[in-house]
Amino acid sequence: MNLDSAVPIEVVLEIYRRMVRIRRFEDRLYQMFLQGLVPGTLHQYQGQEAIAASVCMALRLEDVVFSTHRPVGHAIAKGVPLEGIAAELWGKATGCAGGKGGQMHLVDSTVGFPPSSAVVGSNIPMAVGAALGFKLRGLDCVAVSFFGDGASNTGAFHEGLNLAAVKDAPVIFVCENNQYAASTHISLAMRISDIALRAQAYGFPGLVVDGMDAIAVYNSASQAIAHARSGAGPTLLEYKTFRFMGHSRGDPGGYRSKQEVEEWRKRDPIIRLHNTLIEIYNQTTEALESINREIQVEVEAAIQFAQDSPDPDPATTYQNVFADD
Amino acid sequence: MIFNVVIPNLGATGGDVVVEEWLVKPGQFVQAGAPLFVVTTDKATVEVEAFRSGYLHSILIEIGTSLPPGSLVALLADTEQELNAPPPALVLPANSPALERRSIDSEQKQVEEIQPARKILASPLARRMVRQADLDLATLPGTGRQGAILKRDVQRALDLRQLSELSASIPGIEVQRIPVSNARKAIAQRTQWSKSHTPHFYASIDIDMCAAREMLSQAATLAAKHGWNAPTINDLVLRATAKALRKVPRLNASYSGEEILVYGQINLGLVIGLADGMIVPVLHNVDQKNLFTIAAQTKKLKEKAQMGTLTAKDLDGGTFTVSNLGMYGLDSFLGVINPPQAALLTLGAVLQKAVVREDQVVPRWTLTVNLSVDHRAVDGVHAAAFMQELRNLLENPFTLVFEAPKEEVD
Repeated sequence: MNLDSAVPIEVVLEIYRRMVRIRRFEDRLYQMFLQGLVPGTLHQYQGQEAIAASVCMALRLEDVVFSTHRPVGHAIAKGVPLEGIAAELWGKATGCAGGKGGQMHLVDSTVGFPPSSAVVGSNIPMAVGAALGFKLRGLDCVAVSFFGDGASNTGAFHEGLNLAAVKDAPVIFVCENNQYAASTHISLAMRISDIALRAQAYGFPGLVVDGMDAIAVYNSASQAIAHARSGAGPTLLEYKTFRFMGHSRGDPGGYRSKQEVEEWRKRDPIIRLHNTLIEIYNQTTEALESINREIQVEVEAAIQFAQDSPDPDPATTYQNVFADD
Repeated sequence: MIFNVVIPNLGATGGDVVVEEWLVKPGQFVQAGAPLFVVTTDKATVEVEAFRSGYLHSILIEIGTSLPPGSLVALLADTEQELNAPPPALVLPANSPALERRSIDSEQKQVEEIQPARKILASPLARRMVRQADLDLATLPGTGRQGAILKRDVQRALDLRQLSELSASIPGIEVQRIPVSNARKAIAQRTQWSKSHTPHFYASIDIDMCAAREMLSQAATLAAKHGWNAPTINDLVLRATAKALRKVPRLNASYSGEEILVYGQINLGLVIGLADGMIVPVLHNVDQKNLFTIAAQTKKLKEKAQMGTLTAKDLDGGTFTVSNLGMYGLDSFLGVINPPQAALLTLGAVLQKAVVREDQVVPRWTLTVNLSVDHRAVDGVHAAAFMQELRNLLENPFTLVFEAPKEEVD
């Protein structure tokens, strides 16, 4: 697998846009959270943007992405409108789940984003099911399951990978190994250093990739997706990464040393892609700054939209909650 | 501009957090994203970061305060010049509890009047049980987080009701019906609350009162000569109790659920029986009063109690209670703690009893005292230390009148 293939500039710029959109939105949310202005919980994605942005950039609109309790980055990357995400966080009627889901349950079926599932590991077999569905209907779509290092120690992970393997399901397992399952370091939860090794047990390829390198993520994801589309079956992609924030709101992250956090922050995927764009793709700082400014305006508008939106009508409480006959 | 610093919604359950420490002093600069203060949530100790850069204008709450999310705790100024400016009219988040707290400090009465009725916290199951059983939610004490009423609280109320229904009357016997006065209702409620919520335990000790009787008889002679009130056994025990509480302050306390509150004053409640019921006037700062002062004041309180002229001041502020039924000749009895106090002392009569001294059975004047103790606040060792000290003082009564020399004051 070649991780350094040349990626067209339009694609790289769009990956950059999506990464900045995630970062600015998450940073603004945190600032407002400290001011007591964000209702409900937060599980933030800062630090891992290269993975969501590049993997989703390598997908088509009709491909589906199964996300987790930390879905904001994935949803933005797959193209769920920012207004719908913001309004969902504020529990508003205009939210992407009508205000019933909150931060952990984002959804938009029109862009291939089924409801994210907050139960750790639970989306792995779901993605396998969706992929099998595509295969049985003769479609060349793929499904992606995003999950963390913690999820790779659940039973659902092993069942899902095995079933995908024997059925050659067109699914890509994307493990965002951010080193900590909530507060538990990976070394306390498994004996192996690379989760990708586990793919061998089920007879399909597994790959370890630097999750802070957007270009490497894009190339690895593109090849795994092409592999799945061709009917050759699943791939396990392990991206080594780090979340800059705590596990959730109110998590000081005191289980990580300041030095460890600093080391990873030096590898910030956005700064890295920014430098790549200037050094290899001949972009100017001004051009990138102008993108940043546009996105800042977008983020402010989405949050304003959320705050101005109406609360859900109590009469709609049970709407879209139970399956229709 | 000056911005509000509030408590973010940090806890796992959205409950209160305690502000533990400020990492930035008023006047100091803080960078956006740098830790500003430390709180303890239901899950962890958390550093709260500054949401923007600025100078800490002022801290509005005390360390150790427990606050709900959204509470205003400090102000952050953009510029150093604004540090000296008074804060502008505060724009607070909706329903900010910080607003209420701040205002109570400055304009207590006004705010209390406009405060809405407190919302009663209760679990859905508890609410359903209350509805079905036709109970009143407002009358139930809650034992859950923040006093929330839970299933067990409703169950206890139901058990109590069943118990009272069971024992309310014995059928087939002629009865005389005595109306329950308000005073009687108050006694019923307080004692029932105390017995059902306070885990009582008891300690008992015999005290040799021969020396004390001898001293009281001399004191009576002295009192007659000066026209003072002669101190009684009860007065002497009050004096000894106050001194013993100074030595073992843990019994002069209340259990608040969050903390044990040890009181700085020793104010002894004195149980006085009335024609219907009883009343507990309070003798304040007993540890600072000599025996003859105590004698004069208890006599006055007793007279006021009989006349019904006790004032609110006479009844407020008790930190420990003494109940004496010695005049009825009882050996001893056990009392019900007077909440929120942590302990109550009960006295029997000073009677001649056969006591073994140096291998001889001899008659000695003996007082049996019992201590009822709230085990939430006080352990057996504290109770034992107090009782031992009380006995030492009463068996060597001169220690109750001899005072250490005071430092000379010019």
